[in-house]
Amino acid sequence: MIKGIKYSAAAILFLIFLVFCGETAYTSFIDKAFDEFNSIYFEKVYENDEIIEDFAALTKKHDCYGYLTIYDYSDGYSEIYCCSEGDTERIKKKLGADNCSFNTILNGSYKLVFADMSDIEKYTENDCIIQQILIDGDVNDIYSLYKELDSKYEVSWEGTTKNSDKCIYVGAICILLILLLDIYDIINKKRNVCISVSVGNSLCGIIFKEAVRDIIIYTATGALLIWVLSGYTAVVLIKDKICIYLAVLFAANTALYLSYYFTNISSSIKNENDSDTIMPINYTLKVISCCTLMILIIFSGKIKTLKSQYECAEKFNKYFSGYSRVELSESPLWVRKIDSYITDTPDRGSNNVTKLIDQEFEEQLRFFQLTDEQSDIFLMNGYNFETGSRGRKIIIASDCADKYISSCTDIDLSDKDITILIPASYNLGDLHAAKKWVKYINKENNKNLTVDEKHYSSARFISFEYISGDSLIKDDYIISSVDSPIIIYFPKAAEYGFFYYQSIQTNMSKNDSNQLIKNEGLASLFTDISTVETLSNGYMRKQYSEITTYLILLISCAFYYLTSSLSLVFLDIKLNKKERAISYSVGNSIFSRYADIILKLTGSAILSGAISLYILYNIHQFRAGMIAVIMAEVILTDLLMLSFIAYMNEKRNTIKILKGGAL
Amino acid sequence: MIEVRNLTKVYGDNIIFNNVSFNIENGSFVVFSGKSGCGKTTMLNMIGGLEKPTSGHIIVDGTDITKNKRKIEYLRQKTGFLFQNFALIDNKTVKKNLEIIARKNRTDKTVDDVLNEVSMLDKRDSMVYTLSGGEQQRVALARLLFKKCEIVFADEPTGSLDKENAEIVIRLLKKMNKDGKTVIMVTHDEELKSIGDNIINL
Repeated sequence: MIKGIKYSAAAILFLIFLVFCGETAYTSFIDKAFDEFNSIYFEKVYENDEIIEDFAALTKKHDCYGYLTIYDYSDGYSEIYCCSEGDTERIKKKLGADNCSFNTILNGSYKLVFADMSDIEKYTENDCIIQQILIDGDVNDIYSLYKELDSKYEVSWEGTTKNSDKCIYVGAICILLILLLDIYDIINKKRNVCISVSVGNSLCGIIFKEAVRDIIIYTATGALLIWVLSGYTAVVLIKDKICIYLAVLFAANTALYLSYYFTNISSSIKNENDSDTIMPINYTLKVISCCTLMILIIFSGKIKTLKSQYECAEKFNKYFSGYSRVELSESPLWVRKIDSYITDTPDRGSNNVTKLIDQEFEEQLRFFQLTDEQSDIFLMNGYNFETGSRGRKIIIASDCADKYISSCTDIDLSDKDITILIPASYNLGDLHAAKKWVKYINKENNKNLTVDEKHYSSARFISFEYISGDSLIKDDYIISSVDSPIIIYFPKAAEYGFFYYQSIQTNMSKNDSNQLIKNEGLASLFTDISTVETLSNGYMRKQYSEITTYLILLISCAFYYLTSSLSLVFLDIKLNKKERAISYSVGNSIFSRYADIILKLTGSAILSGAISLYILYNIHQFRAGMIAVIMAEVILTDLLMLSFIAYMNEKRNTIKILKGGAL
Repeated sequence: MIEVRNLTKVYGDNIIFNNVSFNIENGSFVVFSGKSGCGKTTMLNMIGGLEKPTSGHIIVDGTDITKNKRKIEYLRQKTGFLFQNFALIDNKTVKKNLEIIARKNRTDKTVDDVLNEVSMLDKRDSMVYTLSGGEQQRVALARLLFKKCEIVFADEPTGSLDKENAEIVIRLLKKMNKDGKTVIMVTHDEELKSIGDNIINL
């Protein structure tokens, strides 16, 4: 029983560890690459062939080695590491990775390919861009190589903000919880081991057998989970890490078994178990699992939202699968020019900077207008025109987004300049902000736009949001879904410069967009282009994976809670059987015989509830009523479990314990 | 021969015994007696290698078992224990309780043979917790008969048994002694003291 609980709990903890570390593995891999190599970044888009030729020649000339990174989006998300001649294996070893493809729950599928310079043509056929070179070797050689590269291309040293490796915390918590269960198992088996030793069995042999069994089961469970999860998370990138964590677990596990050497055999044989040690461990595990379960149940309402978000993205994908999102930003060259004006000529700099910014703005408008002339375009962007407007449920839509909006709202959009769609339930502040913004557009453009207001009941829409501040993805647009927003629809947003948005959606191909920038000489602009399909698929995958992860965690946690409660009740009955038999023999009622465990179970549930409330309070999700209901359910489950096990135990004639072999 | 030399055992501030010395001849039946709490079981456990003395020496057939841990393991392979609380694994069957003895340490007898000797063959597949106290002690005896041993340590083996079961235990211990095994028994039962060749009062 205890072994079963131990191995089941270990499997759940392995699962949590692998899912978490698999998700962060790619980031860790990139961090490692930047640790091990010096990164040189191309600030403009150059001809691939030219870069490749120069890279091969320069690495040879300066006795350096390294690789070019090619990002290929033509078939999923591929990163090709094109290594200097003959250095592929060396680079693979240094990065601790090999050719592989993997999925991540939140970010989709990746493919890493290490290729020799001679095979590069295979990978540059598709629509791909070379952005960076990673180099290692003697510092002076690297510097010489950089100087030579700098004389021909616009390049810069690239630094990264290293992400802290949270795997170590998750790994440590998982190992500690497994070891806690090991201690529990070891204490529980102490008497049996001592009996075995007293009949002549070798303690060393017993320890070896136990440790080897644990190692085999943990390894088999780990291997099975790695195999299963390899299709879903990037476990392939953390093979080494997994081996290290398993080695630590095995070493600590074996060390715990060695504690049998310090056991007093005769006293252990006399005493059935060391209840003083076991029970606190058991109650600790129960409180931990119960708290987690309570918190997870509190968040169960999120599943419905996630499902509707998934369906919303699915619908959006159907309408705009052939479109791409084009996000414009300042090219690195432009940033450097502005910086140099500010630092080099502080007195006259501001004038020049203003000129550069004006030029950038003009180029942006030009790019949007040309794109609009050559292709279909639409906006479906979140409103971000006020400071702190992140909370506004307003979407600015335009052009060919009309069919999508009509299908979601069952409303035909009017032929007025602007249609404002208002949901049945809306925030007055939002409506006020929307109307204020229309007024502002009128004023700015010196127009008197005709506005029609229409009402719809409710619907969820996809919009492109601007995330800033302390968000995980800094200064980036991401796809998101908004429930029943106020929609301001402009049929012809191009006439208003797309309202200073830096991102639009178009059905122009990525190549054509890049070509447009090159041909028109829009030097201030840098594009980041992603297909709507990729974005909405990613969003759908994210929602789906969040649902799956939540359900896995909920089931795991419920299982962990039930097993820890069950084992606690079993153990309590086993450890206190003599006391209860004595209590029975002196005529105490069944309630008074089990009063202590009833109080402890109730107390542990109340404690779990209190801890959960404290955690929820700190994350601004304080829901005392719901916690009270869950707490009552937990107490009821515990007491039902206790009643059943106690009843079965009483049926066994507990008074027999007082006969003969009473300890 | 078992030689106990200047043996001292202290638990905290409590001196259980101080500088105790005696010899036990091979093949003898020795009874440790004394008042409750005088350290009879402690002495038995120390000679059997289950507990360590605070100081002094226990020499078994020329080997000081207080010095060498490996020798203690070797000694345990040559010893058999019979505890007052039977030392059985409650949640396993009678058969499994006998089979915890490693194959190399078993006698030529089978599990069924030894269970038959103690009239417990019909309980072979019963869980230990379902047995009465007398039956459990007979399982412990069967385990003793199943294991190769030269010295038998019996700690109050009849302490919790009825007369009939106590007689079975004593008869089997006497038989083992007759077969050449050294038997060391702890008891406070005045009647039982008489069955020993030697009585050591602690």
